[in-house]
Amino acid sequence: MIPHLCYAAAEYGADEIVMAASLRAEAEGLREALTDDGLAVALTFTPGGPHPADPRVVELRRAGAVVGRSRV
Amino acid sequence: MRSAITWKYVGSAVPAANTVAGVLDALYTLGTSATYYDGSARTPGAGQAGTWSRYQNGGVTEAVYYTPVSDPHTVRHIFAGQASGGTKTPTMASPDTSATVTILYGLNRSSGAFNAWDNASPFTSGSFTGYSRCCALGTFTLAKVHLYECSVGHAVAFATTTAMTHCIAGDLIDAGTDSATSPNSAEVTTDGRYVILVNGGTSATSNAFWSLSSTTANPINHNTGANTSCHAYVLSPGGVTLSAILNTFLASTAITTTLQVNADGDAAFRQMVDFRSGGTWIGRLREIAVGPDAKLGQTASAGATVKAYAFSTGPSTDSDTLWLLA
Repeated sequence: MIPHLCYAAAEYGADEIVMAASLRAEAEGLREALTDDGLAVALTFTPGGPHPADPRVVELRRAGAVVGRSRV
Repeated sequence: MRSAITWKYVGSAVPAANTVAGVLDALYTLGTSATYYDGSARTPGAGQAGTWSRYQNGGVTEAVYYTPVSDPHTVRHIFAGQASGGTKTPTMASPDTSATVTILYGLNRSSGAFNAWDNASPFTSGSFTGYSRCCALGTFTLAKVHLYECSVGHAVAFATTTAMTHCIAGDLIDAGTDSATSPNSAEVTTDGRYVILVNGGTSATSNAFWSLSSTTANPINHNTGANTSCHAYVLSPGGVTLSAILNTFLASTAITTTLQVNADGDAAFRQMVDFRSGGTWIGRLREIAVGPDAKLGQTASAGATVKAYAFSTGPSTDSDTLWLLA
């Protein structure tokens, strides 16, 4: 599901996706998809992710503000 | 084999307005009804009748949530949304994205008290699937909302005068004889339960869905497209990781009109089975059957006894139908 975040990033106009470090390997496909689509979106990894109880919840941000959340 | 469940048709309600609040209020009205469509008594929290609750923000309904009668895993089913201009950012189940003027649907397992519908933990604790879009009111002018229920789940149809989209969810899979006696932890919860979540997506559900393909608008098939597509998932045992499912039938040929009746012309209801995307067996859908074409809201009876309810994709014309067995 993580590569699908490429679609969500475009929909929300996100410039950053924040996710748990445990998703780093899965996110490689997303990085490729973003590059293929020409989207300038930074991937930020934090130890537990943006939602403390569920590491599969990611945040999509624009200029630092949360514009969308996805569970992957 | 798991014990048979009994479906009932609560009835239909006309939304006061084609808005998120109007549609959610209609669903809440049905969910708290003291009678079924036929006038028989209905007691929320008993028999087949689930318990429905409502969240209002300044008097405007933004969420309704449902608890099935049989609920050992404290699953909460939540429908929610916001009007145009709303700025809340609910957690969505990838690949769907949030939208206003749209009914969203999701499941929470091991739930605590209701928190906030747009919080990443809408029920304070447990695990949340994230929402999928199930009805876009900007393109769907609803004539009626229909509610069906059993002790472990529900089926909701959001119907225009000529089309519908839908949501079906609950403990609605029988994984087979093994699951009741020696559950496989990789397959089902330790008490043999499987929870599915089906969202029709924002496209009208196809009224000719008896094909084996995973189109964007089949009633219990998954399509990977975002937002407009039908999503059908099974939840991981005890958790909310979603695996796509595809339905198929106990016949290898197309479900023709001829094959929907017996030699006497009586309706023949055949149980449906589900597979994971990729082909692994999941189980049979509990008391959800293939049968003859019908209209949404119709019943099939033997004499005065209702045998099944038509969860049809056609509100006004006979169309392909999931039959919910009484």
